[in-house]
Amino acid sequence: MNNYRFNSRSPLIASARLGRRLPKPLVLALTLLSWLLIIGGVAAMVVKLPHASVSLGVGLVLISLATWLTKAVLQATPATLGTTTALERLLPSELLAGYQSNLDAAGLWALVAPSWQARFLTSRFGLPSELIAGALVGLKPTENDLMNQAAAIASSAEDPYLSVGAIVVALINLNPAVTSLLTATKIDTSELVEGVGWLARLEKYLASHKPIYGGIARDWASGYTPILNGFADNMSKQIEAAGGNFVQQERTAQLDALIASLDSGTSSVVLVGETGIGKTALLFGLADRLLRGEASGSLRHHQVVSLSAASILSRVEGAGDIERIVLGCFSEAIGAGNIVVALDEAQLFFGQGSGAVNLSQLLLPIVQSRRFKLVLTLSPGDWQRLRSTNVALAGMLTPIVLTEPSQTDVMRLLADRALNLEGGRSFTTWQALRQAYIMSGRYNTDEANPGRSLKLLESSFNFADGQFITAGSIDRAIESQYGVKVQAADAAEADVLLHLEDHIHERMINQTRAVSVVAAALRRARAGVANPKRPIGSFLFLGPTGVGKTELAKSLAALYFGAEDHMIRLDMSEYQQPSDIARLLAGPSENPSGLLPRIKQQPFSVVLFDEIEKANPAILNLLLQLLDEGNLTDSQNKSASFKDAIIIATSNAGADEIRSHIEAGEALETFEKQFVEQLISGGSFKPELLNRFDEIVLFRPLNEPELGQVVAILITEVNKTLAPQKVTVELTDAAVTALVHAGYDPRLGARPMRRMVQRTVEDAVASQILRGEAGPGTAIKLDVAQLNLPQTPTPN
Amino acid sequence: MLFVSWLSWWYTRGWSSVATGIRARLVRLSQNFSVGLLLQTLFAPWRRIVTSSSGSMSQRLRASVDNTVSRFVGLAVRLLALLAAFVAMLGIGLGGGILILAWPFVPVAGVILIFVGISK
Repeated sequence: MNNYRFNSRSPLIASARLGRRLPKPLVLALTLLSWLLIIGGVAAMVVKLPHASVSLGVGLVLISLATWLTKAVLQATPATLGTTTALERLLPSELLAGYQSNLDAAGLWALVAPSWQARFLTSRFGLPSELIAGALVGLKPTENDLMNQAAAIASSAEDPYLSVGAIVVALINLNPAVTSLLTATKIDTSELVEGVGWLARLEKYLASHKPIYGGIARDWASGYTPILNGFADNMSKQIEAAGGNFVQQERTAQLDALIASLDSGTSSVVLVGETGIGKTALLFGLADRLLRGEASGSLRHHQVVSLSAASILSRVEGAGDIERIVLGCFSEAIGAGNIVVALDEAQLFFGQGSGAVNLSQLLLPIVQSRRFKLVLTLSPGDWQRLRSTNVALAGMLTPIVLTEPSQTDVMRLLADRALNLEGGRSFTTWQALRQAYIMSGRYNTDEANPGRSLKLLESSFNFADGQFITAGSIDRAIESQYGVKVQAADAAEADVLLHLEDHIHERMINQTRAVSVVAAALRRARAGVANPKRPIGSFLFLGPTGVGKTELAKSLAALYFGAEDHMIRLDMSEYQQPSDIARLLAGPSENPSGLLPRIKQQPFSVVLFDEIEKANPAILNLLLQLLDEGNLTDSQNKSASFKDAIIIATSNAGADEIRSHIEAGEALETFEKQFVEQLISGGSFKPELLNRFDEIVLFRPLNEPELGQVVAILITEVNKTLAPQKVTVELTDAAVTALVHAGYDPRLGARPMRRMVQRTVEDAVASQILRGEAGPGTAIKLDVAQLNLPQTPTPN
Repeated sequence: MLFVSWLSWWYTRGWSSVATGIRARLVRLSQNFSVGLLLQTLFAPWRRIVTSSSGSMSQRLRASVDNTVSRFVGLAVRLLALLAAFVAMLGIGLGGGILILAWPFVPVAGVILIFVGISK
């Protein structure tokens, strides 16, 4: 702990106060006047005017004054931490001007709050300045404690100065009441420290000079490259035009390794990493480092150009053109002597992927010649393929494997990149950056970080809250891209959720227990109470055929996800062999309509595993992982998330048992537990599988009056079909009863009813329309006689 | 207080900052003119334009002449650039040197000149 002291009599304080009051134009005018007096004085002395030396003398005094004002007063830089314990030397001049040793916390806050650095932090973290000021009233920490804490914060944030940002965070940490304000804005102290680092990087960038990239003679020593210029993107020129690479380069070790490899005799390097992991960013980092001359002689001031397979293909007119163009490009790169050629997405040059050309045979002698520097970028899969298909070429390349950066590094990169993206038109909050990190990890498992987080952040700029990019902007971007619901439920949606049972019963008869269990689970999930690392809900529906198990799944898809087609249905009788696992876990390239590609396309879905008892036990073991961790991994080792899905498994196991209990007049609740134990002891299901479902839901068989209600729903559907023709149909009570009698099959429940309504009601209506007895405006009322019912119940 | 601050800065940090500033300016000028690169590649062919020939004697002679011309062009342009850099750096170096030497006398000389002028 340092013993910080403040000398209130230091001349630095008077200078700082002067600097705060002094208008810059006045100092500029003083400088101009000084030079006029000096020049005028010299001229007057030459022509020997009287009192000429007064003009020169005043000019010299004023120029020394103006220089002091400019350099020492207006551009005063504080000392770095660790060099002194004198606070008047460490504090920034804007703070020093009003600083006093006896200031209380609120007074110090009033001093720092108007600075742009404090406003940067409070606006980026959504902290109301007035509330912080109010919470600090009455607090009077010792100066030494507060400044030691600020110094520790600055040190954690890699800020070399006792900055305004560090003091702001030290003040916020003083009062637990302010800490609760952080909780309300969903941030914690460690994130505020990261904010200080963000601010420090920005201040360092603003204070830095534009780098010099080699000077006027840089390109005089290199050859012309007209063909290469036509087919390649010059990454170095892009860096030069942008005036540097502001975004912090976190991959220092990999960049060092890349430069060392290129500088050694190897000359050719392959960067291996998943899409989005930062291979292209590393190439930009290389371009920046080489332009600055921060490499050894063989690489200094080299330019990095990225050769595009698409650009080459678009210009091909005849056979042999591709080879001619590529050879021309490489020849120029060799001749120029200062080019590093990058083959970004190099698999396109080896005949892999759409729009690809196979140049591996052409590349091999060029790479073997080691006459120029080559960098390829490949995904791990493509690198493995190259190693197996072209051993000689792969053997010539030095691989550098890129792994995903840590969350801290990704957040820093996002923060710096956000400032670039804003362009002074908007403000990105810290919460938005964090949400981009979290949500991209949840919904975009095909890409690695930091690419996936950056992509989401960029897309969120179309969903700004006024000028601010907030966590809500990220949520809206996610909802727009993936068709999912991630924001808090609005009033209309909340109403649907609160009355979910009523809405489901509009299309489902009875099964009140099943409906209420499922509805309660969904309300928990939508309110954010459920475990976010597992599916929204997981249910095992048990009961006989035709009692509404699939209908409830469809209702959930329609009500919770907006449409019935938000349902992925798998008939598990098709997955009876161990070899069927491969089909279930097929990736998008093997089976685009498979389970995992579909859940990636539409993560908010009901996934229905129909007749689960028929699936192979090995497949049921996969379900354990799905229910436990909320994800499955496909054959290409890509993870697919089921965390936004509702998992429903159905089974007819024990259907007769349920029916006999119900026929004996027992309520479901009374035999539910005993029934599940019987299923386990009977070997129908393993206990570990049943235990992983949120709820095991029993469906009871429908009785005849309930089937009458099913008929009413089916007639409503018929009327919806007839609506364009302005024809309506209704049944007499006798007709409904007769239909139920004719269609009732205790083994098949309501399933035969739809076919019965088609055969009788729809046939009768069709006949009337064709005979011209029904037209627009007709209300058809059908009785038993018009239904042409069969004499016996319709067989299966 | 401010007067003391002004004077103390002028004879301590102000003086050293002038020297640092001139040194930085010379380094930037050298970088802008690529002085190091110009010296390293002084005799290199202009934009690496070289002709290679393994044909007849006359062709090889012609290639040799072409390459010599290319090197001569390179040398001429680089010498011009080096000359410009030298002049600029000399100007800044000399001006900076005088400024550093004269720095402590500026306020004093100003005051003396005022008194001298008034007393005449």
